[in-house]
Amino acid sequence: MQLRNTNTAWGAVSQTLHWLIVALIVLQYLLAETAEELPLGMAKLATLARHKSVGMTILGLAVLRLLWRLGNRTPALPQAMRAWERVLARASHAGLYLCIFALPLTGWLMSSAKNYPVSWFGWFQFPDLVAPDPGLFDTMRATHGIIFNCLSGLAILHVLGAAKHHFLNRDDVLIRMLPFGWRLR
Amino acid sequence: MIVRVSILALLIAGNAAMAANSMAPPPPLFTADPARSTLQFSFRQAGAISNGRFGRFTTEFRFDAGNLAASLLAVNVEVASLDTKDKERDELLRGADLFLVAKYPGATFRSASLSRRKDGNYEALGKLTIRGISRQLRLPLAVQITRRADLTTMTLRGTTIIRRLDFGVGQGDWKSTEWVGNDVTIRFDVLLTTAAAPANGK
Repeated sequence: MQLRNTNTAWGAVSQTLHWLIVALIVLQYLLAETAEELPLGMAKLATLARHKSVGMTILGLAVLRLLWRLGNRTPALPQAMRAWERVLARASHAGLYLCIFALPLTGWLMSSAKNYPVSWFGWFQFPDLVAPDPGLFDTMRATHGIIFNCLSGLAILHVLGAAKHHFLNRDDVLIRMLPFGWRLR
Repeated sequence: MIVRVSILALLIAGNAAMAANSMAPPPPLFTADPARSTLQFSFRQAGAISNGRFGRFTTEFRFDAGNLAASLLAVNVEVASLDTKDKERDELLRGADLFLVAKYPGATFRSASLSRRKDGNYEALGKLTIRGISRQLRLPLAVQITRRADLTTMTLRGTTIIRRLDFGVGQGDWKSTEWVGNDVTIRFDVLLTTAAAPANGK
């Protein structure tokens, strides 16, 4: 497998970024659910600190991913797709990209608004985006949740779309994003 | 001749020392203007430096640069007035595992001696009491005095680092320093005034 994308396949960099971000988002969900159950205390601080560090990691990976996508060709959609299907595919992917930026950014805003600055695994501290503001924290917290729900909806659509391509259309749209997809051919 | 000059010099020096100690008026009392004074603290929480402040505290400083022996700094902090811009955390800090304000509402600093440092600033050696536990503390003081006809104004600034666990601020889980550091940086910037003209004022 090569690093760069081609007209017909995703390269190793795009695949790695895709699956790494998927895994980290699942981890984020688990950390957030764990923290939600806890009263304010040491365990909650620790869990949220990890959630924030992983979130900033996702933001960094999202930047890399966008840059890599812009500096690379994107494998073409199958010829057989109809116009509305192409529009839906493009829009849902744009939505997914938007979410992987908006989720960490609203989380970062939540932290700044609550005066709990963001650290990256204790290695360094990110600057605060806004001054402490309880009202803004509540708004950002709600927004963070709404964006997560959007991401979940889009992810389900994404999986259903991939399944449709693989099982109904019998094209290579799913396989070309699988690291060892050639084995399934 | 030489002997006589020496005696005279001794007499003058003796008088000066007496004037400075017993005969000098007590140093003027400077009191803080709460609206223009801040007492902040910062601490490492989950790898990031968080900060807060105490909203209510009083500062009284009897100060005369020429009579440090009679100078005295006294600070009283109303611990419950702490503010970290998050009500939930503030409540936790006031609670039993941290400041236990119900039992220890005040934190105090009392200087035992003041000295002038080589850099021109002062240093107060005194006793800091938090949560009922007293520890010796060396407090650097940058003192700046502005004299006007009827009012003398002083700014008092300084920074010091204390360890919260020295004062028992952290019981149970909070004894651990993994997620909340032991070091706490204290920063003060206090504006004080006195109506009295300083004894050695120019």
